[in-house]
Amino acid sequence: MDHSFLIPSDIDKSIETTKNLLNLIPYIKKWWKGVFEKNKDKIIKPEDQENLKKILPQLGKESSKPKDQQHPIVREFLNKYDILLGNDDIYRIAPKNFINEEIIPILKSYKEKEANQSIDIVNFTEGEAYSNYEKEPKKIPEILSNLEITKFSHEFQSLLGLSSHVTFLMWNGKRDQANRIKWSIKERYGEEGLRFCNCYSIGYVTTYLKSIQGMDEKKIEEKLWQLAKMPLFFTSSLMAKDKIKEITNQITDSLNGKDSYIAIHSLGKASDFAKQITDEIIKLDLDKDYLDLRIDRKVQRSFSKEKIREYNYIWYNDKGKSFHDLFKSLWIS
Amino acid sequence: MSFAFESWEETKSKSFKILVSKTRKKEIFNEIGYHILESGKIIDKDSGKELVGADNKGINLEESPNLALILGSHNFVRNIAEYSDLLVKNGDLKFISEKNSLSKD
Repeated sequence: MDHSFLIPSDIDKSIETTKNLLNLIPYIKKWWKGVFEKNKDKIIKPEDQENLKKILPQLGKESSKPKDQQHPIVREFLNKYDILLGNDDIYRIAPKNFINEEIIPILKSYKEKEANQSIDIVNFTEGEAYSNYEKEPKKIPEILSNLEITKFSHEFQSLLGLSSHVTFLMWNGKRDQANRIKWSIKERYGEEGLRFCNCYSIGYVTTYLKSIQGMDEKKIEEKLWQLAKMPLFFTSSLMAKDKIKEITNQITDSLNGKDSYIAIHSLGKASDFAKQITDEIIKLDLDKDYLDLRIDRKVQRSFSKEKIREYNYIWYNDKGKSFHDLFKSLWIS
Repeated sequence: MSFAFESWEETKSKSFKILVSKTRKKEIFNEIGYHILESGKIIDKDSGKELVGADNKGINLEESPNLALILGSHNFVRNIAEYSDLLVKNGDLKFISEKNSLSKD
């Protein structure tokens, strides 16, 4: 049996999971019949719901291969069934002809008129992400919720929502999901958008807001964007070696160029990269005029379940002292 | 927890997502009135026009692996960030204070 589509350590478990899905076929057939007979039956047990969730990314990877290279079990599954994810978080498996005969006519009718009910078509790996993003209210600090958010531009409201969601995911150990959303922020809003999101996750946005209270929302939006233009650097656990080198060079350039406040921040596994970068820079012994501050600690946010390693390194000179004073509450409690 | 399955009429009343592979996505798009060119461009069969996103740039299925069709209004979004834009536009992006959410938890 060709197991090439999976990394070795996952093979047995995942094939077993896929088999479990195929074992559901009799129930699916029953449901398919039951659709018309209004028969009620258990379709996917809670443990199979979990299995299905786990195997979706693998189904996604495998489905992108030419059909003759797909794993036979996966090919059989994809040939016969579609997966539906309801807004009740329940996965349903439907035979292909069900989608063709029952759902496609509805989708066609939506082209003619707006509809209250929504049927979205998304890929395997992003399905849950789209669903969660839509459903979960974006939790923001009180200082931000006291503002009239609808007075911000549409783009800025959207970026705030995304940044809030990413922050929540990051601090609750869902870094893969958070990284996927960060990737989409970069696609839509560029490097500055991503930098804003990172500034939000670390706490810069909330702290900065305290210093600009009383301004109108338009001015606040302008000011907050300025944070994304500062020499603040962030590492990711998915970073390639050349990116580590690039950040090292950028920080070195900022220090040589006398930027007044420079910092690198990281969470979780990415902390090792940030430490590696700062260790390299310290070796260069660049400028004694900068004061520096290293914070390597485990922290927990009010909305997170567990403590996470946070690594920060800050350089500031006389000109940057006021900025450091503004943000030092983030590092020194 | 029970997953007793309801009838199709009951299911139909809910919002849901169809999770698909890229090939299946093409098939469904084609069935509901869109033609996917080899280049990945999406053409509306009725108008013959190329589909564009909210940024007025053409949408390419090959270049946007996470492209989603948000039905109800036939809006295409390339990724979650564009989906977030759409939610804001429709007034569906909700913010709550962390403080309030904590007191509810």
